[in-house]
Amino acid sequence: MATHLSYGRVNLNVLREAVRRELREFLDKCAGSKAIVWDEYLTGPFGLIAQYSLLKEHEVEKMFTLKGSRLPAADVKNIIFVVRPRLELMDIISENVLSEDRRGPARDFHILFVPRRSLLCEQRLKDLGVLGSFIHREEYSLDLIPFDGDLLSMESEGAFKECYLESDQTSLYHAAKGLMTLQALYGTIPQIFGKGECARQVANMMIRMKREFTGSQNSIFPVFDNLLLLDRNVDLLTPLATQLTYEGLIDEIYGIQNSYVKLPPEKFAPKKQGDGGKDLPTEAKKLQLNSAEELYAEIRDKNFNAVGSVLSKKAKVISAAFEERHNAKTVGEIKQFVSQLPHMQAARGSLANHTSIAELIKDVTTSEDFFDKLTVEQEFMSGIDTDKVNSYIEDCIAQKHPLIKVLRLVCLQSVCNSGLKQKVLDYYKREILQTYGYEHILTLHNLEKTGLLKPQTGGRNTYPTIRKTLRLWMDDVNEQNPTDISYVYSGYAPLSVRLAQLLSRPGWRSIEEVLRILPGPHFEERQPLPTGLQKKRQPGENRVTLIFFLGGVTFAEIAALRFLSQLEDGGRSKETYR
Amino acid sequence: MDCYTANWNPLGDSAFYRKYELYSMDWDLKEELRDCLVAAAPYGGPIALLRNPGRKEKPASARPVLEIYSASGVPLASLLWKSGPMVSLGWSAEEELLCVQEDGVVLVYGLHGDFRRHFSMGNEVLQNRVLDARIFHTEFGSGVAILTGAHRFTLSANVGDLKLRRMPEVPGLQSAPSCWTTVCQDRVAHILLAVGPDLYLLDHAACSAVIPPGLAPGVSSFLQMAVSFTYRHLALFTDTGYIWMGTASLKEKLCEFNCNIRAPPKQMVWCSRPRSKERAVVVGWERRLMVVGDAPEGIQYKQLTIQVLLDRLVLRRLYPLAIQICEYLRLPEVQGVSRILAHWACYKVQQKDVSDEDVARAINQKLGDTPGVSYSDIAARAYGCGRTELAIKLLEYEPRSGEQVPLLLKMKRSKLALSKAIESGDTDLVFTVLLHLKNELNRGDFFMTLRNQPMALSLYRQFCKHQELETLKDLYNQDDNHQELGSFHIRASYAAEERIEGRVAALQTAADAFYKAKNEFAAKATEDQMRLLRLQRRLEDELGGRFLDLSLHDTVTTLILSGQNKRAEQLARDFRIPDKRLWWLKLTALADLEDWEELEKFSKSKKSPIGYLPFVEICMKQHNKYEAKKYASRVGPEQKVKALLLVGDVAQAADVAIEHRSEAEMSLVLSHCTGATDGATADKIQRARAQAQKK
Repeated sequence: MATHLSYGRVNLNVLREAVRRELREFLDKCAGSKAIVWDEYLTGPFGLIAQYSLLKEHEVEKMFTLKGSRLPAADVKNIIFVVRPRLELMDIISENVLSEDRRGPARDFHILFVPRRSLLCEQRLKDLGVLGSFIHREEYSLDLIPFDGDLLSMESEGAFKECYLESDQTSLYHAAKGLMTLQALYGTIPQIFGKGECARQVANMMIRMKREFTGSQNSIFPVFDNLLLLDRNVDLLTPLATQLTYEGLIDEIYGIQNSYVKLPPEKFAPKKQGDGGKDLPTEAKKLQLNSAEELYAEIRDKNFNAVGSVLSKKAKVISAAFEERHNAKTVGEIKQFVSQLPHMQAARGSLANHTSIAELIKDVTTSEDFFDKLTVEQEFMSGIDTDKVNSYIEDCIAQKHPLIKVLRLVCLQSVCNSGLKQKVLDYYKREILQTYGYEHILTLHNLEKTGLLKPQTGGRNTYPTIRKTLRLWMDDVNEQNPTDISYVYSGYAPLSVRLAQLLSRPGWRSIEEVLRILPGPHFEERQPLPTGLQKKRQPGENRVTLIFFLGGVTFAEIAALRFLSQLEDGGRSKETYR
Repeated sequence: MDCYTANWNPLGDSAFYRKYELYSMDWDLKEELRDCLVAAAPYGGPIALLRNPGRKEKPASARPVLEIYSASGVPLASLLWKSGPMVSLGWSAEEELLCVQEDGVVLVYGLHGDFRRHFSMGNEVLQNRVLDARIFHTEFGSGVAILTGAHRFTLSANVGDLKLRRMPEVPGLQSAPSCWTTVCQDRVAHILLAVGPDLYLLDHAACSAVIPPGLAPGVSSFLQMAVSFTYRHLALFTDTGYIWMGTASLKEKLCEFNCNIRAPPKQMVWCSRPRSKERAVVVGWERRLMVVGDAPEGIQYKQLTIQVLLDRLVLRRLYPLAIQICEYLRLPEVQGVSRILAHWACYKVQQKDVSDEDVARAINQKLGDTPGVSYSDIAARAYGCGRTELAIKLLEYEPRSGEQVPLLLKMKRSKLALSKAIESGDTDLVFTVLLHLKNELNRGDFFMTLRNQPMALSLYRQFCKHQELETLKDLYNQDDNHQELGSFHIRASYAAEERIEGRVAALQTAADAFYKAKNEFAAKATEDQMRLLRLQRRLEDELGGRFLDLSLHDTVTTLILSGQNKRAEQLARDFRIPDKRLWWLKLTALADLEDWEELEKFSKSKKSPIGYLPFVEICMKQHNKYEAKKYASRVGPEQKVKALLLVGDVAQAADVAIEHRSEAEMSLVLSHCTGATDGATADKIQRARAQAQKK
C-alpha cells in the first residue's frame, strides 16, 4: 500500500492496485525464473507502481537495460522485454534475440509493450525475422500513474513536442485510453469540459471509445463530477514564468524527475564530530518528494518566502519534543517517550533535509540576477514595455547566460505581447544566432512552429484584455497567507488555473469573449448515466473535478489548484498532467 | 419383476459385470473401423472417420473419404480427401477437426465438413515429415504435438493462437520412442517419452530423465502409456506385462498390477464414469479387454458447462433452440443471445442466394447494437466466403476501429481503412495502414493520398525523419514547403556533410529554399553562416587552433584571447555585432586574459555603452580590487552606491547614498554594515534618516 495515495478525495490506491495486478498477472504467465530487459525510459515510471520486491516475488531474478548486440548472461528461463512501442527499440530487441539464439540453452522471450501493443512494431519484428520467437506479446496500459493523493501523471515528457511541433497525436490517444481506464475504475464522468484543439480531440476519442465498449455497461457510482481537459497551448505563459512555490523552485533549479530530485551532496553530509569533512559524499543526494512526508506536504505548495517561518517553527516544536525526555521520570513516561522516538527522528531527518534544500534555494533566490530576472518577468506579465527590445535580455545574451533562460524570457515577452514586432523579433533572433551559434536557427524555428515565439500579426495585442478579464496580474499578493492563486508566482495568477476556477464559479459563459481569443474551441459534453447512478446532491456538497492538462503542467499550477480546492474545501480535487 | 441380477455375469471371484446397449449407431459402415483413422470428440461430440488412409498415391477413385458423424452415427458430412497423406485426426475443444498431414500441414474443418483454414507446423517438420502426431487439450485450448522423422518433437499448445515450440533433442535417440504422450503440468505442455528402459520428460528448455516411484525392476522397455483426461494420472505398460499407475507428476504411485501378458496392447486408456470413485485404466488387445484400477478417494470431473452446450447447439445450427435456452436461463446478453445471434449471422452470410444488401440489412435488424456482437467477425466470415462487398457493408456497423481496419486492409480497401484509422485517433493503426498503402500504391498515388489526410501526412513525416530521410525531402518538395526544406538542408549540413565545401553547398540550398519561402531573415542568417564557415576555415589554416563551428561571438572571443585584436575588430565590423554586446565580449575576454593594461586602454577608447559597473564587477570577479577601484570612480551616479559597495568602500557608499537622499540606497548600505568597523557609518546613516524624517 502506498498510503499517501489514499488521502485525497478519490482513493488512487484503487488505480495503483489495478495496474499492479495487471503486472503480476503478466509475470505469472511467463512461468519460471525471469530476467527483465528494460527500455530505460520506463524504469522511472515503473518505479512508482512496483518496487523490485514485487518483481522478485514473481521470480524476476535479473534486470538489464535494453542495449544493442548481446544480452548479458543470465541463467533464467524467461527473458521479458519491457518497452515502448518504438521502431528503433524493435531493432535492438531483434539484435538481442538473434545473438541469444546462437548460444546456450533455448529461452522463452516475451515482449510487454507499454502502454500499447503496436502493429507497426510487430511488423518490424516480423521483417527482422524474430516475431515468432516471442511466446507472449502483450500490452501493459500504464497510461496514468498515481503520483500523490490528488495527482496522476502520464510521465510523458515529449507530449507537448509531439502534439504541437510534430502533429503526432499518439499521446492524445493514450490520454483518452487512460481516461477510459479511470472511468472503468471510478465510474463514468458525467460532464466533460474542454478548451483547445487537443482537448476537443481527446473528448472525441473518449466518446468514440465509449461506443466501442457498449457491451459492458459501467455500473460504478461516479466518483468524479466533472472532467476539464485543457490544452497546454491555451496557456503558454504560465510554464515560461519562474515558479515561486517551494516545490516549483526545487523543480526550476534541480528538476524533479518521476517524483525524485537529485541534489548536490555537500549540504547533506552527515554532521559527525571530528569527521573533519574528509568523507564528503560525491554522489548526488536522491530524495523522493511526495505527500507521504508530512513536512513536505505542508510546505510544498507554499510561496518560498513563507517556507522559512514554517521550518523554524517546526524546528522549535521538534527540539521541544526531544527536550521532553528530561521530564520523563516514571518508567511509563520513559516508555511512552521511547515509543514516539522513531516518529520524532523521522521528523527531525525530514526537517534537516528541507532546511538544507531551502538554504540551497535561498542562495539562488537572493542573488541579484535572480531578482533582476524576476523583475523583468513580472514587468512583462503586468504588461510593461513588452513591445521593445529589453535591455536585461540583451545583457543576458551578451554575457552568454544559459540559452534556456534567454529563450524563456524572449518567449514570455512574445506571449505577453501577442507576438513580437518583426523588428524586435529579428533582433533577438540575430543576437541569439550570433552568440549561441547558427544551429539554433532550428531551435527558433521550432519555437515559432509551436507558437511560443511569433511575430505579431494583425497588429492588435490581445494580452491586456485577457489579463484584465481573467485578473492574471494581482498587485496585492499575500505570500504568507494567500487569498488568491496568484501567490504561486508572487503576483501572476496562472491562466490555466484561472480558467478552471471560473468554470466552477460562475461558469465560462461570463468569459466568452476571452475564450474566443484563446486558441482552439471550448466545449461541453455530457455522458448520460443510468438513473440508478445519478447523484442526488446534498446542499453544500462539493464537486470533484478532474483537470487534465494536455501537454504538461507546472508544480506551481498544481499548488494553485490545491489552494483552490482548500479554499472551497474541495471544489476541485485532482489534476493530472503529462 | 425380473431378478436384478439376471443380466449380470461373474467376473473372477468377487465381481460381476453386465453389458447393455446405450443406443445403437445409425451409421452404415462398410469398412472395419480398424482400417480407418478415427477421431471422436470429447463430451459426446462428433466422430470423424478417414477411410483408406493409405499413404501412396492412388487413382482418384480410391482417394480416401473423410466422413463426419454425430455421436449417434447420424452422417453430418462426407468429402473426398484431395490433400496430402494424413497421419492423424483429432477434434479441438471447439469441435473443429484437425487433420495432420505428413508434410506438417494441419487442415482445419468444421462440424459440417466445411474447410476453415490451414497452418503449418514449421519447416523442420516439413523437411523431416511427420512420423506421429497427437491432438491434445489443455485449459488454454487444443494443441498439436508432432514427432518428426528426425525424432524431434514440435508442438503448439494452442492452435487458436499458433506458437510453435521445437523441443530440445533427446540425447542418444536413434529411433522412434517406443511410446510417447503429451502431459500438461504447471500450465505448460510437456512430452513424456519412453526409450528402452528410460523415461524422459521434455519441456521447451530441457530434456530430463524421470523415474516413476516404486516401479518394479526388470523393465527393459515401455510398450504403452496413457494420461488421464485431466492430466492428473499416468499409466505405463511395460514389456514385463506390468502396469504402473500413478500421478502424472511422477511423484506418487497409486497402484501396480502384473497381468503377465507381454504382448503390446493395442490401446490403453483411462476410464471412469462420472462421479465414480474408481480410477481405472482399460487395456485392450486384439481379443481381450482388461480393467485395472483401485478404489481410493474421488476424482473430479469437468462437467459439460452451459456455454459448451450452447456452442454445440450452435454448431448443429439449432439457433432458435439455443436462444430459447438462453432466455430461459436468463443468461447475460453478452454470453447468451448475442453470441448465438453472431453465430447465426456468420451462417447467414454464407447464403449465397440472398443479395448483399438483404443479408446486411437482415443481420443489422436482428443484431442492432446488441452488446458483445462483433460485426467484424461476421464481416470476416463474409469475406472468407468471397463476399467482399457484403463484408464492407457489415463493417460499417463495427464501432471498433481496431477490428475494422485490419480486415479492410486484408480486403484491399486501404483508403477506406486509412480514413477509419484516422477517425479512431489510434496512430499505430494509421501507421499500419500507411505502410500498407506505401507498398500497394505507386509513389505518386501514395503521396497524393497523404496530401488529402493531414494527420496521416504528419505521422508519416515523423516516420521518415527516423527511417527514410530522402523521402522526407520528397514530401516537402511535393508540398512546396520551402521553409521545412530549408531546415532539412541545414540539418543535412550538420549531419551528412563533413567537408567544408559540402556543408557550404548544403547551406546554399537551404538559403535558396528560405528565399523561396520568403523568409528573408533565415536566408540572410544562412548566408552569414556560410561566410563564417569559410572564414573559420581560413583562420584555422592561418592561426592553427579550432574555430570551426564556434558561434560568431565565440570566434571573436577566441581571436581576442589569442591576441588577434585586429582580426577580432574586423570580424565584429563585418558581421555587424552591436556595440553593446561587443563591449561585453571584449570586457569578458580581456578580464579572462587578466590583461588589465589593455582593459584600461579599451575602457578609455570611448564612452562605454554599457556603463562602468560591469568593469567593476568583472575585476572583482577576478579578485582584483585595485583595478576595480579605478572603474568604480567612473560609474554613473545611479549605480555609484552599488559599485562602491562592491569594492568594499562602505563609508563612501554611505556618503553618496546620503547625498542622493535615497532611502533604498541607504538601507542597502546599511545591510552591508557589518561588525564594529562600520559602526560609525551605520550611525551616520541613521542620523541622516532621522533628519530626513523630521523634514
